[in-house]
Amino acid sequence: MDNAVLARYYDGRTTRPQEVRLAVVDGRLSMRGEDFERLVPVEHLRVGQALGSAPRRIDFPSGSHCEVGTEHLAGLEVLLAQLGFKSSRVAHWQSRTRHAVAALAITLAVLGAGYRWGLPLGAELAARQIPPQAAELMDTHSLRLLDEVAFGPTRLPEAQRNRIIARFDALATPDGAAVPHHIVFRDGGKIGANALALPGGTIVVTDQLVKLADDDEQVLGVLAHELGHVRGRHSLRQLLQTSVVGMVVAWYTGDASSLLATVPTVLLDTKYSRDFEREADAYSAAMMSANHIPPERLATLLDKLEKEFHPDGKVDGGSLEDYFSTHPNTGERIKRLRQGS
Amino acid sequence: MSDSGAPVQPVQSFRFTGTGGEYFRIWIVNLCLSVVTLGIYSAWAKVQRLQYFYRHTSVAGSSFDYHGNPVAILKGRIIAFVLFMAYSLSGEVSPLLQVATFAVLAVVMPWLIQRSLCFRLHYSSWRGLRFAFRGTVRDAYSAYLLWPMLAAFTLYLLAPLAHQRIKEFQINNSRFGDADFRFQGDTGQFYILYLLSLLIVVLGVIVIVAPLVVLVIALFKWQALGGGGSDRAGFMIAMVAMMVIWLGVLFSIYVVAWPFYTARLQNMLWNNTFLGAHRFACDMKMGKLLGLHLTNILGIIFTLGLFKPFADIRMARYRIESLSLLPADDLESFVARQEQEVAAMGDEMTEMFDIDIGM
Repeated sequence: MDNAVLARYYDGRTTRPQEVRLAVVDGRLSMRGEDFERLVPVEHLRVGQALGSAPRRIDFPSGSHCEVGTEHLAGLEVLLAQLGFKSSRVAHWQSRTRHAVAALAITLAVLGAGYRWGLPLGAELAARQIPPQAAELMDTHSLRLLDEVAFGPTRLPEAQRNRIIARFDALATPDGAAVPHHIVFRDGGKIGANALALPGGTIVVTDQLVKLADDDEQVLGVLAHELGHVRGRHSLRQLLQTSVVGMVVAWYTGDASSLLATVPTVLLDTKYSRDFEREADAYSAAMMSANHIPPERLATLLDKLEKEFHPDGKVDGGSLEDYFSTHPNTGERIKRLRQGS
Repeated sequence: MSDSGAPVQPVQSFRFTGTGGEYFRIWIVNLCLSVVTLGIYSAWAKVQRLQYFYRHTSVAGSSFDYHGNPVAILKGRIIAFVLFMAYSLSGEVSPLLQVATFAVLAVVMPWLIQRSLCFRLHYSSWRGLRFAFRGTVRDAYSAYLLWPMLAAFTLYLLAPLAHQRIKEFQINNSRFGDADFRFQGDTGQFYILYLLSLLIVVLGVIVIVAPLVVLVIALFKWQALGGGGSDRAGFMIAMVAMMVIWLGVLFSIYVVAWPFYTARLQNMLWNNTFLGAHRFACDMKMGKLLGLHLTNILGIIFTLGLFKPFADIRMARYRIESLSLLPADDLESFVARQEQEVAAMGDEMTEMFDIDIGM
């Protein structure tokens, strides 16, 4: 038979190859070697998926098998079809360039959607599961670190601190839900005027920020923004999201270079951070409004902070730097807050 | 090498027949399926990748094969993912917890490596006979925990010795059919390799960094004489200079020392490896390896990663075709040995934590 498929047969016990011809006889696989012939029913054959031009094998129940080289793969396809084997869909996709292009497009679309919506959603669900005790442990650890590295004990008078805390605790939250929190004051040292929210509900405010503010209401605006971070569990979500992004980027760039991995990771992470900042701004505006305090107060303080840190710059529209920044452009934030009031 | 009277066998070169275009199509479809199934399909993709590379590798007219079980690989990957996330997040809760997690991983790692070697070899075959790994867990701890710790405690003076012990463990415990692999490389060769590589790094740093340092000092002198701008400009110069010097160091290590080290190591390992009475030979060239690696990296950068499958094929082709087998007979007399099933978990976890256990 000129369309017989040539193969090599191995009995699975030694490495001695035997040349055989494969063909279909009476709906069964016929394997004819130099000194033997076998007829194997279809149900006894195990055939793997085609893999490009790689040699294929047919396994027999006795532990033996035969291998078909690249030159005879086409003939093998015909033979397998005659025996009733369906070729795999995945193998079909892998054999056509236009499927490869489609696969590339789908991959990019899914990854993009996952980054934009999927991962944030998953992180939000996961953050809800983390017990408060774990979050409080993180706070203790972070605060100790900050006290060692950056902050000193507060120098604000106790009366002033208590007054701010009392006024803030008297405020209603936008949706009425109580948000457990714990406000502490620190001398900001080199960091200067700032405020941050830790995962377990600790809100740190620096003396310099309080001194920079014109009145209590501006400080309350900042505290409301930080409370927004606590309410939304932003610290935990940020942590989860950046961990997954880092892992995926590292897995993809693999052994190419770890230097390559840092730039895309930073760009991807800061977008998440800016989204959280926008959410916190909106929470602050809502909370201020609910208590009949103009959200404008926070905008004024942001303006003062900006002038403090960039005395010769203009608070203006965006630039390329914004994509590397953890906060949205300050001009944009001020505009949004003022429009809200 | 052969007995008098027995016919001398021709040298058998290893061949690799895989192509970039074909593998790219397989790779991208598998990547798409993995992403769409949130990673579940990736276990099947891994089996296909290994099968593609194994089956396109041949010696003496017969190709290799890989028959790992995707479900077992999937289980291992899920466990590895959980461990990785736990390790990453533990650092946020408390540094003590992270140190503890790291300690647990370090203690478990030799066991994982031993399992992964068993798994990888058991599911690899040639002409129908399987490979096997018979290293004990105790020996794995000696090779992967004891010796590396000793090396660390002696300021890495014992590192070449530890490396030799690890290779001995890996190779001497590997089998094909009824024949054993044997490694005859001695510690002295490892010491020479490490010393020469270190020498190249030092020379490279001097050659690349010295002119830069001179340039930076000149710039500072010029600036101090009032030739430059403000303090800020001086600060910028210093930052840029530091970065360039750091890049110079990385460059000399990565570009110059790495291909030297890798080529020489591979050649030394294979040239000293026996399988029964057969032996191997490897002749990788440092220059060729460097050119290949650099073009691969550039290709990957400029195509945002799409060149990676092509890069993998090119590297595999060079590594495999540098290898040859010097047989002592007609290679038809290997006989199978009975082995029992091996769990897959080990292979996946070591991959997640980026341990290279291959040669």
